[in-house]
Amino acid sequence: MADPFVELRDVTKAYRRDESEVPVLNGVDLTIGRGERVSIMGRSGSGKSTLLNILGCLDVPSSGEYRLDGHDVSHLSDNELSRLRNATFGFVFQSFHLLKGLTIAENVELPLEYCEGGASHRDRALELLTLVGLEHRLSHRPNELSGGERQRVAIARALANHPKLLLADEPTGALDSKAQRAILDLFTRVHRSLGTTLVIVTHDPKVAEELGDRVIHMSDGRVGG
Amino acid sequence: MTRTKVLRRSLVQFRTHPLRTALALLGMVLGVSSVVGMVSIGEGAQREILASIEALGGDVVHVKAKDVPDEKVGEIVNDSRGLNRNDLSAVRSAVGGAAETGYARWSALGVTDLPVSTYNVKLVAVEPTLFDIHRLKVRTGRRLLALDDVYGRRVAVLGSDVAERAFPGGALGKRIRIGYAYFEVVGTLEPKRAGADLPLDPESYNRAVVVPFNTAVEEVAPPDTYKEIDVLSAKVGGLAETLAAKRALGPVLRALHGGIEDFEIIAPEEILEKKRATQAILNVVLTSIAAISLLVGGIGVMNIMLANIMERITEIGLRRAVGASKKDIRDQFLVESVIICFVGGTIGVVLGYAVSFAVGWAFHLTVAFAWMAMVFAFSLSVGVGLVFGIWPAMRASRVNPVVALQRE
Ligand SMILES: Nc1ncnc2c1ncn2[C@@H]1O[C@H](COP(=O)(O)OP(=O)(O)OP(=O)(O)O)[C@@H](O)[C@H]1O
Ligand SMILES: [Mg+2]
Repeated sequence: MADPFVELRDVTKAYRRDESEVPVLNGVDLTIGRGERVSIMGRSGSGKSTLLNILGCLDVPSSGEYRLDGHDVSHLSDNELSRLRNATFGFVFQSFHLLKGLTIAENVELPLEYCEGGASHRDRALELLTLVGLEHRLSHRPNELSGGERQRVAIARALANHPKLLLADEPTGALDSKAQRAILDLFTRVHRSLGTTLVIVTHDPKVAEELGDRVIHMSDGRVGG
Repeated sequence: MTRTKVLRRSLVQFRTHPLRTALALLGMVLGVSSVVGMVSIGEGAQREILASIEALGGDVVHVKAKDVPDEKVGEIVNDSRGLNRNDLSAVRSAVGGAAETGYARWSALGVTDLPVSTYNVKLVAVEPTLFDIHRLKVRTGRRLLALDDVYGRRVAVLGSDVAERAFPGGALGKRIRIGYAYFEVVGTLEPKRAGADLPLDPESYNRAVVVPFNTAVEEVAPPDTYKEIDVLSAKVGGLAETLAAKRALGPVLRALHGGIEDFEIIAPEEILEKKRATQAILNVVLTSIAAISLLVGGIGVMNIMLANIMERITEIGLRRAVGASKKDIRDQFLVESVIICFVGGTIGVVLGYAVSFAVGWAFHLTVAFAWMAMVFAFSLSVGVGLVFGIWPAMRASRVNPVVALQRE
C-alpha cells in the first residue's frame, strides 16, 4: 500500500474476567490507506467493536503494534491518547450517544470543548449541521429528533474537529431503510468532499459493499479475506 | 477559556437536574447556616460578656466592702474599721503610684421630696473621679467635679431612670431635697447596661442620685460605724493587669484590716476567665453540632455526585471518546460539587445570619456579625465541596469509556 494511514501488527486483546483471560482479538494484522473506505463484517462477538475501539485509541491492545500515520501509538499516556482522539478520530455509534441535556448545536460543539484554542464554535456547528441538513434544528433537544436525524447530528459531531479517520460502529443498525439511505448517502458525500478515511462496522452486506472500497470479514478475533 | 467551559458544563448539568441539585444544595445550606448560626451566637455571647465586664471599666480593679455576719461585728470593730478612705493610699501604692482611684458609698435615699416612689432609688456618694473610672456618661448637664467635692457643694447628678420618672420635662436646674438639705440637679446620666459579678450592678446607676462624697458626709448621711465606703475602684494598665493588681492588693489590705476579710477584691480579668471557661465548653458543643451538620451536607453532596456517575456513565464515555482526558472528567465533577457547596454556602451564610438574628431578637441575645465567620463559612463550604467531591470525581474519571459506551 502506497500511503498507509493505519497499520496494526499482530494485535491481540484479552479481557480479564474473574480469574481467567478471555481472548477477543488473536493477532490482527490490518493496514488501511489514507482516504480508504473499509467495511468490517463478522458474527456477533467476533471482536469488531473491540477492533474499532483499538483503532480509535479508546482502548489499548494487550500486545502487538499500532502505527498511526507512521507513529507508534501503543505506548502513549492516557492524556496523549485523549488528545489524539480529539484531533484525529470521529466516532459514530449505533445508539447515537447524544447528550440529552444539550441542544443539537451544543452536542455538535462538544469535541471543540476539549481542544486548545478553537475558533467560534457556533459557526462551526452551523456549518456542520448545514452539511447534514439540520441547520434549522440548532436549538432543539436530541429527544425532539427522529433516529435518523439524531444519527446525522452524531455524524456532524464526529466531523467537528476535522478528523482524519471516521469510525462508525453499526451506524444504521437502529434505523429504518429510509433513514438508513440518508445516512449512507451522507457518509458517501462526506468521503467524497472531505476525503476522510472511513471504517464502518456493519451486519448488512449491502451496506458493507456500498460503503467499503474493501470489505473485511472477522471471525474468532482474526481478520480474514 | 477552559475554565469557563468547565463552569458552563456544570451549569448545564444543574439545568438538567434541578431537583437533584436543589436537594444537594439544601444539605449544604443547612450545614453552613448552622455553622454561621453557631458562630454568630457564640461570638455574640463572647462580646456580651466583654461588654458586661466593661460596663464598669475593663481596666479597673475593684475593692468591695463585704458584709460581715452580725455576731462577728463586735470583734471586727475592734480589729478593723472596715473599708474606708484610709485604705486609699495603700491601694494606690499597691497598684502603682500613678493609678487613678475613686470610691463610692451607697445608701438609702431616705427623706426626699422627689415626686416619685423612691423605693429602690439609692443615694450614691462618689469621689468625682469615679465618673471616669466607672464610665459614667453624662446625658444632659454636667458631671460632678473635684471642686464640688472639695467645697461640699450641694449638687446632684440623676441616674437615667430617676431623671426620666421624676422630671419628664427635664431635670436640669431642679432642686431636690435629700435629708434636710436641698441639692441642685446639675446633670443626668446615660442609661447603663446590666452586668453580673461586678462589685455592683452597673444598672443600679440608672436608679441613683449621685452626689459628691464630702457633701453627703456633711449634709446627709454620717459614716457607718465600721465602714465608710462600699466600693473603691482603681484603674490599672489594662484588662490583663487587673489580675496582678488583685494579687498585689490582697496582702496589703488584709494587713491593714487586721487579717479580717471584710472586703472583696474583684478583677474583671478573673470574671472573664471564668465566663470564658463556661463559654468554651458551650463552644465545643456548638462547634460539634455545626461540624456534624456540615458533614451531613458534605455526604449528601457526595451521594448525589456518586448517583450522577451511574446515571451519566454514557456521557462520561462519550466525552472521553471525543477527547476528554481523565483530568477533564475529574475536574468537571469536582467543579460541580464545589459549585453546589459554594452556592449552598452562600445561601447558608445568609440564612444562618437571618435565623440567628431572629433568634437573638426573640430571646434577647447578642448576635455578632463576624466577617471572619463568613470567610470561614465560605472557605469551609468550598473545602467540603473539594473533600467530598474528590472521591466521586476520581471515580468518574476512572470510568472505562469502552464499557461506558457499551451501555444503552
Ligand atoms: N469490557 C469487556 N470486558 C469483557 N469482555 C468484553 C468486553 N468487551 C467485549 N467483551 C467480549 O469480547 C467479545 C467481542 O466483543 P465485541 O463487542 O468486540 O464484539 P462484536 O463483534 O462487536 O459483536 P456485536 O456484533 O454483537 O457488536 C465478546 O465476547 C464480548 O463479550
Ligand atoms: Mg459490536
